[in-house]
Amino acid sequence: MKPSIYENSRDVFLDTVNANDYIQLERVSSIYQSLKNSIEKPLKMILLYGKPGTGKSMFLSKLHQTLISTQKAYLYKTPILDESEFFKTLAQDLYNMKYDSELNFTQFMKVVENTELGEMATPLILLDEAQLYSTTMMEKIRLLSDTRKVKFVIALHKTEKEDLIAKEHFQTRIWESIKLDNASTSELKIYIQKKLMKANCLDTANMFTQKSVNLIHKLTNGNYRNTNKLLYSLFDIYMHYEENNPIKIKGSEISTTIIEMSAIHTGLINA
Amino acid sequence: MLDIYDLETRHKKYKQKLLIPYIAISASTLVVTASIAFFVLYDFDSKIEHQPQQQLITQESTVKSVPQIEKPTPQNDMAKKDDVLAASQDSAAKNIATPQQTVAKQEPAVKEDIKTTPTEEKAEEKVVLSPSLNFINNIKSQTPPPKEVKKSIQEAQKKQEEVVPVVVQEVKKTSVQPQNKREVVVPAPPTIVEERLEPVSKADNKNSIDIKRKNNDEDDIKDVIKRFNVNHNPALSLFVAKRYYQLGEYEKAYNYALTTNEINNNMEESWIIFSKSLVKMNKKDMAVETLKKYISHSQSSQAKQLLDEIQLGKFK
Ligand SMILES: Nc1ncnc2c1ncn2[C@@H]1O[C@H](COP(=O)(O)OP(=O)(O)O)[C@@H](O)[C@H]1O
Ligand SMILES: [Mg+2]
Repeated sequence: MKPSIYENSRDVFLDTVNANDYIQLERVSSIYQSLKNSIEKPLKMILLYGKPGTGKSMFLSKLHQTLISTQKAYLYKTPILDESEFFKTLAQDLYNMKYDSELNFTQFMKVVENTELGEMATPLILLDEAQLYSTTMMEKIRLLSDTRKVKFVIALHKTEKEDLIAKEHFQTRIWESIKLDNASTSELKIYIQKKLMKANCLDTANMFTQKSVNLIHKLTNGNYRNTNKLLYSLFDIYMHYEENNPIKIKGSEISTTIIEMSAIHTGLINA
Repeated sequence: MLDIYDLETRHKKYKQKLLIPYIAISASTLVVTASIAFFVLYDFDSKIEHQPQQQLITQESTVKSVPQIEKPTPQNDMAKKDDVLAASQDSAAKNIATPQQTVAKQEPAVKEDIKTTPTEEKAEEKVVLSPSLNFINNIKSQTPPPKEVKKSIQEAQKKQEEVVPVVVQEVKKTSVQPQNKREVVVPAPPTIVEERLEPVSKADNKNSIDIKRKNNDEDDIKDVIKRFNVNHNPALSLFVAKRYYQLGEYEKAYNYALTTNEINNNMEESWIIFSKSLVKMNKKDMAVETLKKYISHSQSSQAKQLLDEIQLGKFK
């Protein structure tokens, strides 16, 4: 059996982070530009923050993908929580140095201070999920930035600890912070349609009228991850009806009932 | 898995629930308009008592106009007799006053009804199902011999330590070839292989082909666990629970289903796996109790079916 358009559309909304799936959203692309600009400025650490599911990881992946063609850039998708392991990884990535034994902060700091960058652009380390690093670790990362021999872009989402970190570090001048937000209704519409069109699902893309997008926005608050979950389950239901009860999906726009059913299924509606 | 029928019924109920506030609002507007109408009459009546003679004419016109809207029968009668006697007005005033009072009494009662029903329902909705701790303690103390518990803890610790180098490798590869990122097969350090073989050979050491297959499965699962640790997406932990259940690793299945329920306590499949794992761990009573709780909260037909099967001994 050939995969149905609903199946293809469903798989568009798998919750994965892959720079190749990145979609240019207007607001996001202006943030993206300012982020790229601040990377070129000296002495700045860059903080990218926002609620879970607002696209921070996606953003970092995309940034990383574009940067590596012109400069040294490394993306650490999951935090390396062991300190020695963290510095060893940095030493390996930045200077191609292998350490078999422990490498502590003081030792690594010496290495960093003694290297000359020459003509090269400052290498960049992108840290995702940085709320998981300890406060002392963040302090050490800041000290590393102070050497101007390496630069960090840090993505984190709000936790209680974040407030604390915010007070102690992010208010100082060396930080440039950029906030990511949930999508507005119009952005959400673009997001859904572009995503489907990228996968050649034009027919389903056209089924998302302003009305259906409004309802989806109401249910997901414009959160990208929740939207993915909702639409994945929505097309799952469509697939089911296509096989068993095609009358239910006759309409030319996305059925409100099925949107609500998916919201129940994914727990966005308590019923 | 998708249980469309169950979803459809839940959706129907959801729609009905949505209607409740509308019904309540229209009922209360009705009551309010009715009572306003009577208040108009009431003010007017009290004036009659103070100055009966002077305002007779205006009284007539208002009394007539009110019945046109509300048309209560006693007032209609009264309107006809109006021109006859002022004395009859007195009795009419009494007539009008009595219904108005009763309405005034009814009104707060109705409002209370409206207020209480939705809040009670909200309270019901907020019921959070979280298995009690003693219940977990029970399982720990009763099922596995202490050695195994230690082992699994050590395993868990090992795994946590190992996540670090594995992740690093992945990151490095990404930076070289971001496009193939998702296809990169992470080379497993030798310690992991040993560790993986252990539970599998315990489960069935007769079938060596099976072991290989399970190793692949375990790789898949590890990958998903890694992702789950990053984004705490309950869909991922549910996936892990289901896979462990399929592999016969019921304790792990139980743990991940529990984790899933903690993140989102509204995922039917997770409760099903949770209960099934309990049965497999010889905790039938716990499974029944859990399912009953969940059913009372969700009306899930799948859960009901499973409960029946467990109680009839069809599911062991
Ligand atoms: N600009 C974008 N283009 C395409 N998909 C996106 C974009 N932003 C977010 N997403 C989708 O939303 C999901 C959640 O985004 P993610 O980056 O993981 O959020 P966060 O890291 O802030 O929790 C991702 O799986 C991705 O599919
Ligand atoms: Mg993320």
